[in-house]
Amino acid sequence: MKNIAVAGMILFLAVGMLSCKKMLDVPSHRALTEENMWQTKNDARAGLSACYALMRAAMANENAHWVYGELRAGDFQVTKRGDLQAVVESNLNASFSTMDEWRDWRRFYTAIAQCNLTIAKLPQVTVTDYRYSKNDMQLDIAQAIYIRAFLYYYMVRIWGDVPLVTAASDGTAKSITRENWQKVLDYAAAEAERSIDGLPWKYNGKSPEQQGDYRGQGESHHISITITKGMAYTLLAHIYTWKGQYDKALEYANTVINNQSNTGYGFVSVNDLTRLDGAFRGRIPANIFQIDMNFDHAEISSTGQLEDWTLRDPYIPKQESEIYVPRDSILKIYGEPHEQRADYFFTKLDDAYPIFYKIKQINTSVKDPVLKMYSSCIIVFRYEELYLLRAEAKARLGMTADAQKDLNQVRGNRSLKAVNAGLAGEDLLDAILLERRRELMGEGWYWYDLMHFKRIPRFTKLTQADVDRGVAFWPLSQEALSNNKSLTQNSFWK
Amino acid sequence: MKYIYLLFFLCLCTLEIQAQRTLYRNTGKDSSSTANADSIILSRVTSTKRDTIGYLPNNELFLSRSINGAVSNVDVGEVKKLPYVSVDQMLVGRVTGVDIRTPSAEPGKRNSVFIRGTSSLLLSNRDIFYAQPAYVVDGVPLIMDHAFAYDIQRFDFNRMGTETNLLSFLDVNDIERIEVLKDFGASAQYGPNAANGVISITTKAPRVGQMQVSVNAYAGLSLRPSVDAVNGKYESDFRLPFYQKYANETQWRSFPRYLADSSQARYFGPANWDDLFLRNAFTDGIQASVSGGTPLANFRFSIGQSSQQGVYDKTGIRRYDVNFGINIQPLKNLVFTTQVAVANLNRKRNEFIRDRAGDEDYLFNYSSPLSPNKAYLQQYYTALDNTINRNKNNSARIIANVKYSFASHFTWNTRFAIDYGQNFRDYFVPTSLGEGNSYVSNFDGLNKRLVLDNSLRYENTFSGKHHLEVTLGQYGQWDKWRYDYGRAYKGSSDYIKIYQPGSDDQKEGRFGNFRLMFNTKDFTQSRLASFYSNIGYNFDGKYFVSLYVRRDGTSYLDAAHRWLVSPTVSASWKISQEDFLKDATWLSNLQLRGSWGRVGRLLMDEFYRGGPVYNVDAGWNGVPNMSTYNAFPVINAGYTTGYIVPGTSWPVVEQLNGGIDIGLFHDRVRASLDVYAKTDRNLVLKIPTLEEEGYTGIVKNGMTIRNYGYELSVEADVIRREKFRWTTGISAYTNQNKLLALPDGLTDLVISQRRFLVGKPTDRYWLLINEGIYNSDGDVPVNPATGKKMTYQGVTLRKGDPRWRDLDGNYDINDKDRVMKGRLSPAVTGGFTNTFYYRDWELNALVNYAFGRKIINQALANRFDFANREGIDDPKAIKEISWWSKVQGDYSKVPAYNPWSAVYAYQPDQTLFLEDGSFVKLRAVTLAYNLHSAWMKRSGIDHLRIYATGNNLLTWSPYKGGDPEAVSYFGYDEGYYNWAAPRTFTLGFNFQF
Repeated sequence: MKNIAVAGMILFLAVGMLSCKKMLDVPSHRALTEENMWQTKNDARAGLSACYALMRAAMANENAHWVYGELRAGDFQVTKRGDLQAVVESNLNASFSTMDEWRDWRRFYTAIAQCNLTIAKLPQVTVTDYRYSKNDMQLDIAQAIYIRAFLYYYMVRIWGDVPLVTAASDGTAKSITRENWQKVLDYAAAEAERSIDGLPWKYNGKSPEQQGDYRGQGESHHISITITKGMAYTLLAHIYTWKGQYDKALEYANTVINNQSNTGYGFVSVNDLTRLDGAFRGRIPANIFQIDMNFDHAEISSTGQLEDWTLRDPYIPKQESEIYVPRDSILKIYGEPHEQRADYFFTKLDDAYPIFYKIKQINTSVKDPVLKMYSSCIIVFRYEELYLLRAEAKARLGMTADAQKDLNQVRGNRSLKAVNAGLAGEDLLDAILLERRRELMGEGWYWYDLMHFKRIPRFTKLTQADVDRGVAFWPLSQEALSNNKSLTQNSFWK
Repeated sequence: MKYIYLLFFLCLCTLEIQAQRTLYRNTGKDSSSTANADSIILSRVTSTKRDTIGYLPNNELFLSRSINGAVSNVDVGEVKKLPYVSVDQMLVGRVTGVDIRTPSAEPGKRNSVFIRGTSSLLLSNRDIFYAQPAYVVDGVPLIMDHAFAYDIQRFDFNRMGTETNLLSFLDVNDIERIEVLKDFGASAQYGPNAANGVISITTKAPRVGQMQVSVNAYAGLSLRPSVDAVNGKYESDFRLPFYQKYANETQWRSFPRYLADSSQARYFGPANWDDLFLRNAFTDGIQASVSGGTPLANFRFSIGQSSQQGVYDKTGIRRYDVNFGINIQPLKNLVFTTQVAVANLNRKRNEFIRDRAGDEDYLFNYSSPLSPNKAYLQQYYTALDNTINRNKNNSARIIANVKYSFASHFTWNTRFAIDYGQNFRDYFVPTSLGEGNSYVSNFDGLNKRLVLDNSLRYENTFSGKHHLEVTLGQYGQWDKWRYDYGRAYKGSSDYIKIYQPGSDDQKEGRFGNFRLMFNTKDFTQSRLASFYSNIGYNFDGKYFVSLYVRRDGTSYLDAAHRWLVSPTVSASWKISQEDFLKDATWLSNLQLRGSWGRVGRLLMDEFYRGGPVYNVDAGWNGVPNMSTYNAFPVINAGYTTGYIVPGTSWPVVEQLNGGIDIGLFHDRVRASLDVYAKTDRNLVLKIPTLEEEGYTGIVKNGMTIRNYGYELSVEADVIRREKFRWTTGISAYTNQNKLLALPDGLTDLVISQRRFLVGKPTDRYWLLINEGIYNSDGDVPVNPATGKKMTYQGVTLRKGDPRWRDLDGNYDINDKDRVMKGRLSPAVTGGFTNTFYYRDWELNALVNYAFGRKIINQALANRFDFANREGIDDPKAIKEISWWSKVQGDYSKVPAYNPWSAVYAYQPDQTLFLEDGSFVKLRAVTLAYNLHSAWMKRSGIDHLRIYATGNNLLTWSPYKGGDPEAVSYFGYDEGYYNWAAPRTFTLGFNFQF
């Protein structure tokens, strides 16, 4: 008996030792580890999609896109939210949790980190998965490169000098200094340029860069969303405009517009711009580059769209919108004869708080009564915007007549009469700025336009002295400053 | 592997049984002719000592508890009379070394227990889960809920599912003993499960003897609390002075409409909402058990029901439980023990608007609160009746144990146990409560733990004095947590309450559009494999030493780091047994104890195995679950999880404990003192990193936290006469906490508005210091160096802003001007009990206290911060029905700051709202009468007792904000979200025959 038991015990322990490894090697069902990622074509594509999605997250978070691009300019007024009021008043050090988010650039760097990682890892997938061809890889990398370049362009407009991170993180860096914004833009431009070769004009399967159905979907699925040559050229035109190199800006804007047969880009009517399932659903030739949201993909949310702040009763169950354009401003901004946009962009003009009604993607499935699940995309670049950009470049280069032609093209589309042929110099730039303000209201441009048209003191309550001290840029968040000791706060906000 | 074990063991058993059986038959034959059947059976059995006293202990899983350990016992006889539904509530004031936090008196809701301080940083609900002790029932550690459900939740309110306290499964009438095992001398045998301490529960086992039936029943009433109900007039009067003083035109324009029109009866009528919200609540319970049998086969069966209604919001919990235990000795020295416990919990939850928003992950328009007037409010309660809010937990616990003693000194023990828990929640919100949109969700969760333990023990006494005990064993634990969750919005009709949205082909389904549905499944499993050995030696019952060594492997770490060896040594000296004290009449007991041990701490998640992880995390604020872009799936590096440094290893807990037990005058005075230092090392923490690398932090080992303190309890039989006895006892427990190290040699860390400094405690608030108010712009100091006025984080201070102390003198108030101040866990807690016995009467009173504890009265801060909480898309705009009551607090000390100021004048984290949260409570009084009469004896009644109890009777506290115990886990009084425990009175009886 004793022997049996002792033998049993020994056997037990032996079996135990052997099978422990098996017992403890349980694969994770919740998180993917490094060794299991970047193995297949699906991994590669999911990693690339994350670049897009994180870019969207950075721009949509607490409506950052409009806070940076629209609110500070002052066309929109605030009903009651103290944090938004502080933005409108350029009181950007104010203490609100949302303000912490807006001051913080972490989400942008998250998107950039994902691009850096994707660019570094995709080549290895061609080795492990034969279905992932070199061609596939080049196309995907080109998109990630574009997104990274775009994000740097986007950030430079908000914070000025920003750290330039171009390689995947290994979690060990202790400090990174801010890079001169010109150099950051040089990098962005070079990268945008580099991405062009790998990108098609369209995802129609007919170009050497992209053949067959891309990711199992036809052209209509990708239009305005998946990165193309046209978007890259458009981005370059914008980068050079911001840098003040208008000749280059003009060159790239021309490239886009002259390649209309390749891009298919076109203008949009004011009705199509504002209607349900119009431009703010997108996927149309008028939208050069949109950050996508889509009801049919269940990419919907109740935060992160401008509607959440601009709509109210009777369109959504909310007594007061968060922001609105006062009636007087509307009448002033859209005061020209034959102007129709005010009728399309606004409603309830006679109420104390008129409703900004340009963006209102409330799908029929979430209506009657409304469930606040918005699905409007963020339009980054569209054809009208590009025309006005080219008009500006031409005006800056002294090509007055050509500039007027571009400006009048946009005005004509909106039933406005052509500008006075004598309009030139600063006055012409003013006219272009005002046209941009009218056309692009609520699309996150006006503050940046005021910045680079140098009109902040004229159109807002801020003074030239403020601007000289750097009021136009946002402060850095306390968190960013405390984690990276080599960062310095923007001068105005010290 | 477990199957191999099982199979092997079954073979072994069969072999032995057959061998024994032959042996038996022979002996049986010999004696059958001379004695009756009963005595034959008895004569065959060599009972162990414990068998003869009636109970065959279930708790043989590991080792019997060493006497060297620090243990606190609960007087189960006393708590049994009180209407507690969960074990943790029974500990309050009755044991030392334990800090119980109950943020809300909602019956059956999860709460938390910390033994000897907190060993991790408590920042969110997730962290609470990680800091809970192990509840060991009959040697089997129970599986609790996993925090992973929080991963897909937008708000840190309730965990998805029922949020029911799983300890409510246990019926106190089935409990024999509750012990808190604090040092590793007592708890090392539970290995990594013991990292946060152990609460060991021994259930009533089958007993040997005549059939015995016992019935326990009680019924009682919780009294409706009183509230200071107010209406729109009160609120409007409260706010108007601020408007008159500070508001500009825009702010005046957004004066809330519901407060603007005093002719509206909806908001300005009588405030009598409390009639619908509060009630006198009933509580009752009945339990019956039957037990008995011979030493060869005996059993216990019990069945119970108990229910408790809440006084607030028609909440409540009901439990049904069935227990069955059986012991069999089929042959000499072989004991089979089987125990099955099944229970069901049904909980009626609160109807907080906030919690509904959290469930729906959707914020409604909160600009018009509910009416404080019954006439209008009734409509809302009628609508509530159409909701479905079913919360059901089921549990099955099965323990099977085989013990075989052989060769006179060896014992083989094998135990297999399953703890299985289900967690169901069905939730439906009708259109009338959802701005015209209905909502449905279903949660189906499962927790499962398998435990297998084999051990071999050698026990012998040499020369009558040297007692040696050697044990070798192995242990395996297989844990699994899983849930399926689905939700859908905008159903087609209020009559359709099932979750069946449309599909790709048919977009509108039974419930609604399939784009408005959200499904998730989650699954995680943790395994633990251990080998252990114990050598225990004692000399003549005077000197005890034991060495316990254990090797644990966890599936949550990679192969190179998964094994940990952890030793525990403990010793004790029973001085009173020494010759020189044996004759001392004044000293009946004197014992010194000491232990040092190290135990591994299991990690909470499976992220730590292979360096950085990838997951799906592409949402933004308010959208936690976005997983595609342009319909393509997304996989990103774990930026929110943090960069997980490869090579994560075991965190460990080391604990040193010294104790002394004294008994004087024939144990008339009993005292016990324990001093401990518990150090958690190598804890994993996410530390902030460069934002420019995209991660929210780096996750790595390296945090060290020490908790140290002492526990003292003294008990005395003051009067010990035949007819009258008075016993009094007092206990005290202190704990200090200190952060000793952070990963990467960091010394200073700010996470979630809390600061952690190496060398300082981790449970302090981080506050600005108030020194009044700036009554005019001119009052604001000017920096002579720059000519600029004092700022708050860069914003110039103005009239109406708080005068905060500028600690660093740089004329800018920022985080550097905050101080770490105020403990959120008490400096000293304990209880004071008195029991009087007079003839057949018994009176017991328990007072418990906590001193040196601070609370932030956030409810008061929020009331003043109305300007930032009105009509916005944020949970803080939500006004529950109880919002229509006067917030308790000292209003006179709060200056009239400008609530619209951009400096967040009424932030809770300032000394203005820090208050003393010490308290003394008359927790419970019980009065019992034991009936004794000749009639009872004739009818075969062993025991009949009638009792009455009162619970939560009186509170003394300097805290002005209401019940000082009803605060969040993190020390903030959230007002009406923290329900105070009601006064409860019960009547009951125990009956045994």
